[in-house]
Amino acid sequence: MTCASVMTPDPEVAAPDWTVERTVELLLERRYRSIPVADSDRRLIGVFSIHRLLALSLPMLASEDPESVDRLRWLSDDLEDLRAKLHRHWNRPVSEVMETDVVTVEPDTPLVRAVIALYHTHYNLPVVQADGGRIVGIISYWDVVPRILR
Amino acid sequence: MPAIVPRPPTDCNAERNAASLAASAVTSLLLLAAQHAPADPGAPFGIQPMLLAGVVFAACYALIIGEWFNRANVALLAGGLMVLTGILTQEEAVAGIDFNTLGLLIGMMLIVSVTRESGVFQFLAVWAAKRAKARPWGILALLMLVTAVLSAFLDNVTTVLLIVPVTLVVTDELHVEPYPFLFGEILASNIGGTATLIGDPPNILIGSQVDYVHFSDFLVHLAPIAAVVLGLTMLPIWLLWGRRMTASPEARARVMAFDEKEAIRDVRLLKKSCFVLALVLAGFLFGHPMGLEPATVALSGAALLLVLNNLGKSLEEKNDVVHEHYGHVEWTTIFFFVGLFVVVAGVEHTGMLELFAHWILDVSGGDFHAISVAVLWTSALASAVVDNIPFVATMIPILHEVVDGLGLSPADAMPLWWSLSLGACLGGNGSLIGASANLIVAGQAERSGHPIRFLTFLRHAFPMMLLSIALANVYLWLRYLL
Amino acid sequence: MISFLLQHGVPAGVADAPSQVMFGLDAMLVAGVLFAACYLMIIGEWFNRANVALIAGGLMILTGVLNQHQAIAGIDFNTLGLLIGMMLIVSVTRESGVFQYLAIWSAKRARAKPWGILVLLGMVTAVLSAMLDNVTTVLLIVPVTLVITDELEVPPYPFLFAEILFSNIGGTATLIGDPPNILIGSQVEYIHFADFILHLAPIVPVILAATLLPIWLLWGRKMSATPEAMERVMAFDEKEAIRDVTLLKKSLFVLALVLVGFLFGHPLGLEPATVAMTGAALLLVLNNLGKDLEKKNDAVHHFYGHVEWTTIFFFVGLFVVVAGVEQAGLLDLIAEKVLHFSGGDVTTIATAVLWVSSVASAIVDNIPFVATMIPVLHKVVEDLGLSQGDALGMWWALALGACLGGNGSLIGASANLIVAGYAERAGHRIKFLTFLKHAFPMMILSIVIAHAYLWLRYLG
Repeated sequence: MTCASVMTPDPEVAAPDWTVERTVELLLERRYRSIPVADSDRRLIGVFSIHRLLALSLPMLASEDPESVDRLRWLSDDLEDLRAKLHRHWNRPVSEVMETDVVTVEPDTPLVRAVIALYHTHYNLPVVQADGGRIVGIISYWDVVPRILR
Repeated sequence: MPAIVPRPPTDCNAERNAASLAASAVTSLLLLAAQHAPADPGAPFGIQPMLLAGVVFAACYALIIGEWFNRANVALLAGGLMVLTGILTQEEAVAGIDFNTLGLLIGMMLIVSVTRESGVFQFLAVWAAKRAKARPWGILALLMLVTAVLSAFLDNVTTVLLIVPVTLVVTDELHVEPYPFLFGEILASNIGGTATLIGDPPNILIGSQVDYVHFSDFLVHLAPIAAVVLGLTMLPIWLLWGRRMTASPEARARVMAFDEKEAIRDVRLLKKSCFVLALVLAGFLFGHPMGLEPATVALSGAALLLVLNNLGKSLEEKNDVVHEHYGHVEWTTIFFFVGLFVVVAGVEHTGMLELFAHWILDVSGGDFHAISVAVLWTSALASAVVDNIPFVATMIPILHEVVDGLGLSPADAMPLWWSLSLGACLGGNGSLIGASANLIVAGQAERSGHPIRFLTFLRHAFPMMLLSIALANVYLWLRYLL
Repeated sequence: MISFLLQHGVPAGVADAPSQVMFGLDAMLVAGVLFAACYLMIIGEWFNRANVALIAGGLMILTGVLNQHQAIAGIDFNTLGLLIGMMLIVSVTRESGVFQYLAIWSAKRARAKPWGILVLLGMVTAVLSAMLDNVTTVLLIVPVTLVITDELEVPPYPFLFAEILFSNIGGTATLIGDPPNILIGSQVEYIHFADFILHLAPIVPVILAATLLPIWLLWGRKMSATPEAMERVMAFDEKEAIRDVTLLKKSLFVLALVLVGFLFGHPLGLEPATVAMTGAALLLVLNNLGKDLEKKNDAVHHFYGHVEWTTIFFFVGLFVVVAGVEQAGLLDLIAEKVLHFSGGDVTTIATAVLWVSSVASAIVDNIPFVATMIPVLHKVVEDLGLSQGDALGMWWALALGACLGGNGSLIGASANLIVAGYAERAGHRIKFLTFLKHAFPMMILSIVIAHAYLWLRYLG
């Protein structure tokens, strides 16, 4: 089974000059876990995810240290403080804050590799063409989990 | 899909008994040391340095055998005590550390860590498994054979570093216990390493410190018996584990369905790795006359491969990649060696090891046959307990004296050196701390969640070591001493 | 360098050096070319510096300038053992959370007033740098600093700037504070831990105070934060930062033992590497108490993995390269030139060493520079027939120049780059030229103070 057979084709993408605000609003409206960022030719240049959104609303110390749940107990921030931090990034272009080191698969990649990649990443997996890097689809948990269970 | 292997139940009483046995052996050595030690009024706290060094040594080994603490910590603390109590100065302690061994280890670990990124070892695993039609015993025998042959030409540590990760992949896929495989490979690596000058550190030491023993001599005199010993070692392994090994047809079919060519992830890295590995092998094989020692060859090769692997990346990526590969080195094993070298330098410095060797010589009464046999068995037993490198380094000047004293010609003296080599190399199979390769396998097994217990290994390996030494004794007797 | 070699050739009196190596080439020429190429590659930053140094070291052996035995003899294992031991101790200690505690404590102690926080965090950085390595110190302090400046909504640049400067100045005070001092302390037999405290620590507070003044003029007097923001910082609970009180006690116990070992160990024959490595092993054992063997092994493996191995092997390669040029007689030649141009005057040489090493350290990594200078200065001391007491001024000039010079630019010291890297990832990029404009004059100021101190105490 290949990635092409399970992917959602022609996914919605964000443009690199979209603001963080606009991108986040789209994520919330559609309840997406992440959205690919692509140029006008739909060539993939990055991914913006809920994971990045949380990172932007936390001090960097919290997002970089894997043990910070335990280590940052002294922090007194409440949700209002987190919102204030996120809003400081509100007008930046999404291309400045997206993930650029993105794992991708191609349409004819065996599905097991997409499962391995989903296990390791925080975003839905972009499916790109081998030549040109155009995004042709996207694979989420819900595209593969029912097929593993069945 | 990691196999869930139940850990063998540990018999605490047996462990305690064996530990106290080992302790009592060391205690009798200490008594011997106390009897022969010259009085030294300048010793720390008025204690004889030999006794003090012996106590630190004994405590260190008891703690390593007992496995109560991480062994690198134990060895480093014992080494620190050797300096703290004034037995050694820091300079003497550093001089006791064999940096050729350490550099070789670190360099090869780095090379292997880069090379594995190419996927070539996964390729080997799949290829070997399919070649044996995915039958567990077939794979074990095949991997033992490959290990022995590679050990003869690479050093044992490198060989097991290449084979063990492969083995763990295969046993994981087949859902079989990895211990018999690792056990067989440890034994095969030490047996194979006996066959050549570059196969095992004792042979490197003998080859470079005895003028009349050359590369071809090792092949002519030691390779034949190594082949026989390997064949006879497979028999008990088959009886203990091999005949009962099974894998489900589904597991075997899954393994047979693997496409080994898909395992190669990066053909260019593979080519770079093969190029550097070939350079390093050529350096090991032909570098000695040019004054190139293994540590230089291995570390330079590692740096070269890291540079080649980094071509075309940004500086930040380069630094990250280099940092990552250095992080893959088994540093706890390296620092266990560092501590152990210092501890052995301490007891060596006080004359305790020399005393032990002289005692063996006295008992044999100057009879060449008796000395050869004594050297064989003494080195075998000693190498099973302590690292064979410092032991052999101490034995070589003593045996040089013996050869001079007996007025032997180089040709007549040969069997003595073969006794030392066979005893020290094969003796390394006697316990988990008997040889570098054993520790490396144990370290890797530990990291992958299959720790090898000291006493479990001892129970299986020590009798097989005795068998191999008996064979070597017969061989020496038939060929040289008759 | 090459034309210099061709003109001068092998000096007489280098008896044990091979005059010819592989392909019949002149040993000094080969060693000099390898040395120059190695430096160029390190400065150019095209490759990872550990790789460059190791390959250059390997080539020294391959070409026959050194054999492996001589190469190993050239490696200073005291420096390596000290570095590895301290890195292990710090990496265990930080798990206790004590460093975050210190940073938050000092912020609250300053009643969350920005300038007070800057001064106190700077002081904490300087004191910690004197006892830990600088990179570790800034890695511990900078993340907390950014949390605080974020809360206060003040620009973080002055804070980071001060912490960079203070880490390098603080590191000057002790043998273990900065790599140049570690090198000097372990390769000059008559300089011990206590000597650094007696001779370098007194000038450090003066330089710290003199550095604070321009920072206050530039930024400090204009800093302000809203009362609400300051309240948010005061609401931080520093006691919550301590994750493991038992580990904290164990760490402090071992750190105290190790410091005592450094201070008083020398007469007992205890060198810094033995003290640091034994201390590290002891702390690892204490930290492991009560765990099962597998967890113990995992923890030890984890902490060894945190050691900066690329730095350690950069040192290894560099020591071999320096041993090569030393063996080939090149460093003797440079020492002769130094003596020739200075006319053998100690004051002139010490002054030149101070200023040259500070400017050099602002541009290139100070580790290779100091590693090369030490054998050169040994030769100079020997040729001048100086007593150990008279030679001290020269070594302090090297230490002060190399450590303080690191403040001259963003690439002057590893800690600077680490701070810049972290700040950039947090969205507060530090520009090379902005930093240069502020830091270089302050570095010159500190060297002028050091110069006056040396002149008054040793050279006048």
